[in-house]
Amino acid sequence: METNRMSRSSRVADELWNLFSGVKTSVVLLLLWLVGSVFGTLIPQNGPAAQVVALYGPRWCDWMFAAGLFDVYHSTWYSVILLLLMFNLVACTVDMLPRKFTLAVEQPKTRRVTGGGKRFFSYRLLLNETLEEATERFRHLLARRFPKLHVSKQEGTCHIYAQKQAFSHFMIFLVHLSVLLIILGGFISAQWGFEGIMEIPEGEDRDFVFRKIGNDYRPASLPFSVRCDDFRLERFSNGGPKDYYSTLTVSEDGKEVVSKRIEVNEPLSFGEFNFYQSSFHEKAALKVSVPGQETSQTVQLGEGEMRFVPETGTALRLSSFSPGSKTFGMMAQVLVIHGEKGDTFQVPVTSDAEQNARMQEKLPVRIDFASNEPAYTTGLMVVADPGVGWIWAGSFLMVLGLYLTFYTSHRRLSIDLDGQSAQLKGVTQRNPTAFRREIEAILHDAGFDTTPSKDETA
Amino acid sequence: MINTTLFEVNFYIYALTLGVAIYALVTRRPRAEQATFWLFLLAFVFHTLALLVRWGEAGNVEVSAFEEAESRVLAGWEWFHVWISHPPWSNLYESLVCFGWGVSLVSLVGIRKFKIPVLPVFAISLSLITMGAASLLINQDISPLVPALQSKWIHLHVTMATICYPAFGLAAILGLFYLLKENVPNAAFGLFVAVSNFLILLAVGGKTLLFEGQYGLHLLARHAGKLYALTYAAQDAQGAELVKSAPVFFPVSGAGALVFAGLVLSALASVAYTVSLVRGGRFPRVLSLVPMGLAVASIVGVVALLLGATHGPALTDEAIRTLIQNAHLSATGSTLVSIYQLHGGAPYVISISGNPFEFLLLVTSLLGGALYFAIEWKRDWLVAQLPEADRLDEMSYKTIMFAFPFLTMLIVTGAIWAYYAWGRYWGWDPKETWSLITWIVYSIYLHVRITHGWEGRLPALLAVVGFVVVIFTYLGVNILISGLHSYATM
Repeated sequence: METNRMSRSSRVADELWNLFSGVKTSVVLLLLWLVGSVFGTLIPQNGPAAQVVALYGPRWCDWMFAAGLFDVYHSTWYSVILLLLMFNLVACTVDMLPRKFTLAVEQPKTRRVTGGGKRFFSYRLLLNETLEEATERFRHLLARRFPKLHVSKQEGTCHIYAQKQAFSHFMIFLVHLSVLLIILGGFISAQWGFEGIMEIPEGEDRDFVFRKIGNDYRPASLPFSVRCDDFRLERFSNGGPKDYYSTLTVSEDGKEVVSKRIEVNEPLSFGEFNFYQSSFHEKAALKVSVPGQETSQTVQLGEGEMRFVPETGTALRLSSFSPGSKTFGMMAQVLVIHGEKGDTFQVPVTSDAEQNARMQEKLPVRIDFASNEPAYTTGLMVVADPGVGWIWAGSFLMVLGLYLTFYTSHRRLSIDLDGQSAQLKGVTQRNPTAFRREIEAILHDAGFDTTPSKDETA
Repeated sequence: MINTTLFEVNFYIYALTLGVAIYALVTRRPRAEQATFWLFLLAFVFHTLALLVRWGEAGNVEVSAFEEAESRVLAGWEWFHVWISHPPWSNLYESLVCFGWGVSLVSLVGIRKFKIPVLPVFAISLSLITMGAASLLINQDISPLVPALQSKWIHLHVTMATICYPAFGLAAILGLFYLLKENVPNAAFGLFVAVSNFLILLAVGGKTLLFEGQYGLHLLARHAGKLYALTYAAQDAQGAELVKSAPVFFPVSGAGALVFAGLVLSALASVAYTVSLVRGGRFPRVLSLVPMGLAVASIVGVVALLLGATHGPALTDEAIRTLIQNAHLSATGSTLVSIYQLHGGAPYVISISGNPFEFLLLVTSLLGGALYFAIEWKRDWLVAQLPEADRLDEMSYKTIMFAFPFLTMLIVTGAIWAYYAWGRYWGWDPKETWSLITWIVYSIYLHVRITHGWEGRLPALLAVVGFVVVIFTYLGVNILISGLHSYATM
């Protein structure tokens, strides 16, 4: 009774194990992974709530939100599919190892080639030389292609066994391991990765970053500070940006540690952090003064921004701004609100000071550009990704593993010689045509006729 | 720019080659078969030269942009470095002609290696369709590379794509041959063609075709035999200016109802077919007429749409203004400010050439239909030209085995590039996600093929479906779902 229950439970365990380690399970899990991924590209991900409510209606949205359909790739069920796939991979490996071991290590020990089917073939060759001569000839023929050759002689017969690339059986594990590494790397990136944005006006430094948490950006301080020494922008003739560069200097405890000019595709690395050039902003640097007074104030305004300049008793709003090109200078249109009554003026500003003086003759303030260039703010992306090493290792291993799996093959060959004839048998793990061609080429070089013998089909 | 002319000439060489290939297939004359191969090789060499010419012309554009931005003249090694910095794969037109080149390269190898007499016709058709699609594109200009594309990884990335996508195409053709050889019922092919044609009609026409019988086409201006996209500026009620290029709808009588009925019917037929297969029976003879009827209906629908769209009326300036005002602006209270007349303006036309992908989809569905009828009438003859099913399976498998590591490297180089450009190796951008989906499909293929009980037809079907997914990843994602890849904009 006890044994009965034992056997039944062990049978159930066996069944479960078979189910879990089977290739069919892998295919089903891959299919689920596929369907899940497709969902994420059809439904707007992390979009504004108003957009998805307009698309699907509030009730559906509640359901879809609960099912994680608006953030598929970070949802629990997506992770569960990947975890199951990882378990399946490990189980598959454990399940396959003994069989692979037999094929790659145990079976070759017998130094016999047996079998049938597509991957097996045999030839019978007639010899017109002595056994010794024939053995030497085959040894010589095969030695170049099969480094490990076994020759065992008995009275009147001789058995030659050769094999190569037995490791090929295990190469699929390399590919499977690489998948594990890449998924793990992804989890590590998602869990411990750091991503933030930083905006530094040219000439200033910052020691904080807006860190991305979910869909929000929250300020977070950094253990060092970054200065933007210089920003340079090159334009095409149509005004579009051709290239833009920021020269960054990182300082730690007041000491400058590293400095580099970065651009798109050329980031700066500092410790675990990488700084990427992601965007830039142009602002108008305006010099505001009151006619007859010596002092002036400098303000930086982006389009649409408004700023009080108390020293001059005005408020300024930048209505429009053109950073200029080769043929045009900078131009701006500034709305000036002046005095207690709030008199407003639209003031044109050009890079020509004399022209400005002429155009702004009757105004209570003088506005000029503070420099010949716009004031630049560089937009950086700050990333620290502990998963990336895993990903690169996994990627390299995957490509290597795929080539080794597809383009190597455990090939075994045995030749039984007696006085008159040689019986040649070959078996290969994959690509029988190629192996057959290889052997036929060898035999052809040695002057043998390689028309198939009758027992080939056996 | 001489390169676009060269590519056009190239298109006609491919067309000629296809003609010779069909003649060779029908007559099975060895001379004609030889001629097909050498003509195809000639077309490929010409294609290569045209690509090099475009590369040089793009180099000139880069050099002058560089010299203008830096206000100095380049010379020597520095000039050369800038001159070669823009290989022809930075926008959709360049990408398509590159893809066509890869198709020819892989096909030539495939034809030589596999020696299947039916293969050249299919392979050359694929090159021809690609070059035809490229020639329809309105933007064939060369513009200087934007910062994100100035990376050495792009070269590896595109090289991988140019090799692996066409190889998957070859594997799909071989998979199709396998299904033909393996006695898959004609009705199944008919059903497949019907379902995909109705899906194409749905994708092309969308809700407006289905429920209103209207099909939207872009307005174009014809100038010196070429078509240019028409854009216009309008002012909304708040006075803000917007620039648009929006489709104009025209009625297609009956097409909507046809598509709708066809969709419902082919869905029902698919269910009936699946049920009959699952219940172990053969496909009932009477039911096999349904897919045939559906295939015919879908082809008629496609032809109706194509005829309607290619015979759009020529429109006057005034008619265009009224059309835009009524179709797009009156509802929002906006007013038309100006029509951008790129090259002198009228005459305007509405033409399907302004929608190259819709045109391409419709042409593909027509070819699918033609293939189905070829199968219906000449299946025995066609099957006799094919090698054994086992060999076809092996060829398809070998091709996928060749392409799969390239697909993997394609994704990896893309990830490395993204890491240097944007600071992350993976961002679940639709393009990235679909490349992963492609990878999953072919991993499923590799597993299914070695699974006991699933080998045979299922992997062959997956090889065919896989290529559809590849094409969707390559083109569909950019058109239907926007992403980061620059050739998204036409």
